Amino acid sequence: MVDVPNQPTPTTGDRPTRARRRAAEGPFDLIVGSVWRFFASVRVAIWMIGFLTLLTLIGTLRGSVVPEHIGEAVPALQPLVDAWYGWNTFGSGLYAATMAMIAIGIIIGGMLNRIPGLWATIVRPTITTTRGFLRGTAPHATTQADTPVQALLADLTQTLKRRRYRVVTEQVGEDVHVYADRNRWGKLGTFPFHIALVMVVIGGILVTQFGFRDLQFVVAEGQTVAVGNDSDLSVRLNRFTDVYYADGTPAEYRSDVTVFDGDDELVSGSVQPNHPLEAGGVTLYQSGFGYNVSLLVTDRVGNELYTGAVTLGEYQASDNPDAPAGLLAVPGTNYTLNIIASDRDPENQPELDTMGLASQEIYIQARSPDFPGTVTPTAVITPNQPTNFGDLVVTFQRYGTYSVLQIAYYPALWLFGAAAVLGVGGLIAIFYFPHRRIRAIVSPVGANRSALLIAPLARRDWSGKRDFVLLLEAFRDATGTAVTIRDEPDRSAGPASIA
Amino acid sequence: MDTLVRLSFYFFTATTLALIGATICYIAFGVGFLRIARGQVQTAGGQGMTSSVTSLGTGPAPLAFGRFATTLGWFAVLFQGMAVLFRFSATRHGPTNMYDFSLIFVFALALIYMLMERYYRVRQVGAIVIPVALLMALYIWSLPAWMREVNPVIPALQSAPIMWFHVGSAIAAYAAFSVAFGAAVLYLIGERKRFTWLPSADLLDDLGYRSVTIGFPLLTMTLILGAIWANDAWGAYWQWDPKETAALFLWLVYGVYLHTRTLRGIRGRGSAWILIVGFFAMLFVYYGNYLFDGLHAYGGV
Ligand code: HEM
Repeated sequence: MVDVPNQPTPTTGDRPTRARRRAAEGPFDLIVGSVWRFFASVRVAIWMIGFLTLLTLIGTLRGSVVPEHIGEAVPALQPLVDAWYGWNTFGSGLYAATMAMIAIGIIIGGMLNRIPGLWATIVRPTITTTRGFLRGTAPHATTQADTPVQALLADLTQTLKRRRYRVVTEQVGEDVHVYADRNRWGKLGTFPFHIALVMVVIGGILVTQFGFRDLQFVVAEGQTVAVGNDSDLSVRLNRFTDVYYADGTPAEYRSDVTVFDGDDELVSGSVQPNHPLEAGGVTLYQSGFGYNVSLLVTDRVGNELYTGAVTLGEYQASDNPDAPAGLLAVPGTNYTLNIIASDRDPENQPELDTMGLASQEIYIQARSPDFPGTVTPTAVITPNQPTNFGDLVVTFQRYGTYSVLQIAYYPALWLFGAAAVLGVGGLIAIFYFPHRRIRAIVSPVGANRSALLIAPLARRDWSGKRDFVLLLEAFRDATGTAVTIRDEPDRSAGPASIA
Repeated sequence: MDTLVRLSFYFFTATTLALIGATICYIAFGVGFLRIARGQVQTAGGQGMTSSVTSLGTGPAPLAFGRFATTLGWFAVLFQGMAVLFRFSATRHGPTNMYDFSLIFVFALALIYMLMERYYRVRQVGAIVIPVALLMALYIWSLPAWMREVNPVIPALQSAPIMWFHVGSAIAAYAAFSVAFGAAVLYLIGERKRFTWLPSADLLDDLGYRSVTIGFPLLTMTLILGAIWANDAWGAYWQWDPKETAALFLWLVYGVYLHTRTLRGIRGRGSAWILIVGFFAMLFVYYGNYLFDGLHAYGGV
């Protein structure tokens, strides 16, 4: 990781070599070891994320005109373009497999494999360092003061603490080695962030496996309809309201509904575009609306066959395509009623309206295999006038409104919520609380003088170096001692060596 | 047109003029630096040059250009801030079309760049970033005038606060990525040829990274807020709609970038190339409305 090249590692004699470790492993360990190393590698991670990026681009372009243009420009590629449009990238096994691989990589390489190293950096940092290492660092700084070691150390510690550094020291002979860092917990930000990514993947799997989404849940005013999909919920539409701007564009639609769990009333509330209603784990969205007619259908002796609303608008009447029409298969009979309502907008294309229904009238045609050919009974009826159609008696009760809702059930939604919080929190920790580290050696120079040699662990880290320079400026201002900051490694001291 | 809308437009015109001036000055500054740097090599033998060059001090004519450039840059931020403010006081809803988006883009780009300039005390990156802001402003001029008019929005876009933050954070992220692009271009130029007027490679690398540390969390917020908003508007958090997946694509590109920085060997040049790819990916996402059909295909393009 980042800090390895910054600090010479003392080699100890009794560490098993890689070859000896290999020899001690069985084939199973070898495989596990290789898999682990594969997923632990950031290089592999980059390739995997890069591959997912590429797939995402391919899938995105499917929804654009870009492949089409490619096909026009290079006709030889046309078969490829067709295959491209035909391939549901985001639903493909390849896409899912890549995400799964990345999730495993995140768990192994982004998290587990890093715990020991991070733990050491955060909790048990190496305190001792070498002069050669410090001098070999760019930038590094030196100063001398007319005070004993402990006084200089106290000044340095004070400056560091004021800047929220934790300071730990270790006496090595006459020298005091200093390790100071701040935001050491910020390093851990990659954990919540990477965990959040895994949570999103798991949540996505749960939603696709167990969630449902009903895009056409139709419920008429006054009616109660079961949600289905293995749930005990049902929804009653109490009232539907629509309001328009002067130019006819819709300003507001609203469904006032009551949601039941079995027979228990759960929630009463309203559903509007952008304002869904949540109840019993499902979410209701406003999607559309339309008109219906309430009918009572009986047989000739008065036995009720059907009572309720028939939605209009799902069919077009050939006689007036402009008018809403609907169908009712009468239960328990082989009759189908074709229903055509009056034209809601007679101004629009009046030439199409060959029926001329008044606003409170409907047209009904009863079809049945029992009425072959042209003898189909038809009639225009007005409200509350029972009318005979073959064996049936139909009473048109009133016009009504129905609402089209979407009902969605997303399991484990909290996973996504938690992931959002963890992810953003993690990013803030990583980016805005960067781990800054400083090493120093304070040593006596003669009886009452002391010297400071200090450097940041900030290889190729411009901001870290800048912080270091600012820190030393603060130190200089606080103590009045002159500080020499060198931008280059001090080669005169020879190569970095263990002093 | 309503007075506020017109005022906003006048301020935007002022921004454009400021950006034209700033572009000239930043480029003159860069080119001038080239000359000074050469001159110094001849006279002073290069010693101590980098420190005198990277400070924003006073000095000969090119440095005066630099000061003009910075002043004009801040003017652009101020004017564009007013343009955005008046615009949205007039519309009373979030940005809905390319005109609105691009007004915010120019503001965010100028602001983020100027803050970076202040923090890093280098102006050279402005020679790349400020022309990008100017091009964006010229794009706004190329848009048809009816886009400036204020219309009621379609119901799916009415969820104002979320929509504001969703779109606003996306555009701010794009602006941050554009600043990173400027740093990456200079980094790669510096790799090829060690021009003395360039800031140090570490500084440019850091500037690019810092820009991404602004852009990446903002883009993450965009995706999160977008999902929440999509759910309110269309009843699904994520539908693999092209505009959604385009944003995901961009996010992944910068995900790759962030990992390259922990690897020696890729860090530096490799990272800079990814920032350049990321910039073009960002333009693709930004102008994606022209290419996609899908739920996001409104917005007057
Ligand atoms: C194969 C899966 C992955 C592995 C093995 C992995 C590994 C790592 C490692 C080891 C680091 C730590 C670097 C450090 O502490 O200095 C890191 C940082 C990070 N990763 Fe991942 N990662 C993976 C997937 C992802 C994905 C998909 C994303 C999102 C696009 C992501 C975003 C990040 C971010 C934002 C950082 C912080 C970078 C920084 O410090 O500037 N990672 N990752």
